[in-house]
Amino acid sequence: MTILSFIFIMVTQFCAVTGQVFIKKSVNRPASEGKTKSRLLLASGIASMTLGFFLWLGLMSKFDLSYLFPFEGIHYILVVIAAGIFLKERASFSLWLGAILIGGGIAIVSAN
Amino acid sequence: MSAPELVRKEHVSTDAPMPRHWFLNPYLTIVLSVVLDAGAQMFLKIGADHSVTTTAWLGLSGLASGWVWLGMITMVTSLGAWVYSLRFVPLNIASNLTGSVHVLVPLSCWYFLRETISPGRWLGITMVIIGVCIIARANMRIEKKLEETL
Repeated sequence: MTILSFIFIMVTQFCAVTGQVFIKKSVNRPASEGKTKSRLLLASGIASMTLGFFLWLGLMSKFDLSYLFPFEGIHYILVVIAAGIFLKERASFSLWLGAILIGGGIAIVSAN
Repeated sequence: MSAPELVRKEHVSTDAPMPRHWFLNPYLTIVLSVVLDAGAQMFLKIGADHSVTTTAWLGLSGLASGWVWLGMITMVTSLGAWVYSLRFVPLNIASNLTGSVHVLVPLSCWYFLRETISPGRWLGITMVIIGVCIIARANMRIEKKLEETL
């Protein structure tokens, strides 16, 4: 595991989270605000996810899936943080607890 | 508490109102998305093993494999179902509920293929299930409160 591969793993996670935030922003834009920006947001979201997808595919050929998947656990924590910052979604104590359990559980499942 | 106050407090937000028909329920499409995603991951792994060279960082050579295409089609369908549910459900809840895909794969292997699961993996699976239940239960409570208020 080199620093470069760790950076690539983190980039795939950031791409996935960025894509989700863009898509959420796109689907919840009021119709009165026009469709152009909504479509642009959707396209940016899909582009970000596509980049993350091909990076993930490249990483899968270099590492075992069981080695890569524990890093997926970080994703669920990042989503709660990103949704709070960019979408102003409030995270209750239950949501944080659930997200930490899911993230930690995924890391344990994948590492075993 | 009035509906706007509840929305502000719990942030049930700008999401669209729930659809009337049960088969359009966003939580059902989240489940569909999870099942399709689990299938896609397996197809992609088979495809990546067959086709992607280990020298490139981007797995573009995987496009030569039919498994990768099948995986991509399944993944796009899963994404479509998920985007649909995102219109009605906050991102932090929808995203965390999809975490159950990581327990669906090992549980399917255990149930259908009689593969053994180590105690450590059982611990992880239990943690994810508890996490999903906590989020789903809290969200159901908020939606019920909102429904009663409206």
